[in-house]
Amino acid sequence: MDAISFKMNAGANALLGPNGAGKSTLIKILLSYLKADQGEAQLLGHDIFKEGMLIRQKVGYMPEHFAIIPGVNAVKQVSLLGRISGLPKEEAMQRAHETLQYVGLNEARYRKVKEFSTGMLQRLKLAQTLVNDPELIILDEPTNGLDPNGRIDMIELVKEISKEHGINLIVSSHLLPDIEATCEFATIINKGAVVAQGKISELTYQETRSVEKKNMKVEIRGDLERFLAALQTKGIPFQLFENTILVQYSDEEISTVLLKLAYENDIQIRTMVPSEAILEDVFVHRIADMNNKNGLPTKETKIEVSK
Amino acid sequence: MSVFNRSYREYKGEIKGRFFRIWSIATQTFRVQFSGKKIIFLLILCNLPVISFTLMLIFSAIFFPAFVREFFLGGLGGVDATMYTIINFSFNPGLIFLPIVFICALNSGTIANDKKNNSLALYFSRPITRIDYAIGKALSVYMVSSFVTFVPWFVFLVTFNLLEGVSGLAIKTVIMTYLSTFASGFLIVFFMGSIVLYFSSISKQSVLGGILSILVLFLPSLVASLIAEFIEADWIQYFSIALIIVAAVFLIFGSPSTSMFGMNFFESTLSGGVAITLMITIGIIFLLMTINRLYREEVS
Repeated sequence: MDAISFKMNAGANALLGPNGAGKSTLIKILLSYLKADQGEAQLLGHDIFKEGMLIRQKVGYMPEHFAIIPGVNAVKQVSLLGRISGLPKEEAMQRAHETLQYVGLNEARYRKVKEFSTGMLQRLKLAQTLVNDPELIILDEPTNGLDPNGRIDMIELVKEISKEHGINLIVSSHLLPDIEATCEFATIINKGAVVAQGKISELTYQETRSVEKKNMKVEIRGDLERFLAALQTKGIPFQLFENTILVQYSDEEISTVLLKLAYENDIQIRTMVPSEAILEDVFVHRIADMNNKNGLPTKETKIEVSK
Repeated sequence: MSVFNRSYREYKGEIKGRFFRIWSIATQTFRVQFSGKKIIFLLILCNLPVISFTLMLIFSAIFFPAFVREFFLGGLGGVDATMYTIINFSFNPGLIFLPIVFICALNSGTIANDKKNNSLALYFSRPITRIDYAIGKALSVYMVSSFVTFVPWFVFLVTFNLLEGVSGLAIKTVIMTYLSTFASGFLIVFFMGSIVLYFSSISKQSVLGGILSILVLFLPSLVASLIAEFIEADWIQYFSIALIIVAAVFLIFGSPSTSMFGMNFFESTLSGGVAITLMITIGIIFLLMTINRLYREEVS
């Protein structure tokens, strides 16, 4: 990381970037796992270099990788981490039970953590993150390895933690739909520098407005093949997804053109909406723009996104 | 709040200090390291000398006539000499491998298992320093190791005092014996425990850490005995862990008379001061090396 500078808002923040962008390094520096050579940083208003202990008192961290305390059951593991955070023994035990209940591990409280499945381990990691009632939690790939139902549950939990309990979040994930579902703000970094930052809704809105070739989602009633043939004759590019036609356009008059075409071919247009950009579009284009400026190929970035 | 209601509760209460956190690490690790059925067998094996002496005392009190019991207790010497003898039985060159294997086998996973299971990421995301973690782990190692040193020795001392009684004149000797026993036990535990703790921190494999620490504790004695075949010098004896321990304990107990039933056991010819200095220095060096290693450990 070199000369990176940014500020995150209170609330649910996403930290995004391709592999090697510096996300993990940044988290390690914030948690004092690594020491930065120079610069300054504050977390929750505290200097990370001088007040690391105070910061870790107020922050909960959910690591990406498998991490357990060997030889103990779930309630003992969470309780121990509560005590290490400074909770009195009885309070740590009580909160361990409560947080395990909260994340849906009530039945598995007394099972050895070594026997846990991937999904259960993710929930356990979230429970131990919450046990000391932190002001900020840093979640590294919270939905990794979860089945579809488990993933939805985890997303709901994370949303609830942020919105109903007012705990600030920094979520690092490759699954951008999960980020869109849980976070309000996003910071995209690449090669140790910030490439985009802001409210996700604003970033996607800007992306929708800025792209040269836009898409219009069209649904029709009538002879589909005839309408597609008409589009082809007019030289309008399109793609067909089941009954939805995705018409690519750059001309702002496209809706008039499509309505005229439908009228001429005796077809009724039922839906016609410009498709909105999603966070993935923002991510891909911003990273690609940065690589283009630096003369780097963009292929690598696209591979990371598809992962 | 009932644990059966699914809800999140804020916490605004007391936050405990640094010592509490270190102690939490120590006690939790101790419980994990000290669990398992094999431990009982190992414990009995390592404590055979002290168990034998304690049982002899109890049986003599229950089954033998008073004059036989007095002869037996008198033959053992005073409480200090008896305790010194027992320590030497436990750590003499022939039997020292038992406590060494016990201490190394039980403690070799202390840090290695944490590294293997990525627990360091969980510990170090909490408000503790790496020194706190190392001290917590070291305390756990010392607590586990105390079960082959001063814990059984105290059991013997209490038994001895209860059966023989303590007269007003002997009270000072008894107190000094308790203190000397604790000091000897702690010195041995600190010395061996620190070495094991370091080797536990160098790898994710606890077996490797255990083997290396056993080798380090035994190899100097082996090398010394080989050198002694060619060179005759007193300093060579300082390479033997067993002889160093005897010398240190001999000084701590105030050079007691070790004439048990007329036989002169375990009189040390080495300097106790040098032995104690060596043990403390080596213990501190290995403890510092462990802390240094933990600071260089990259946490994923």
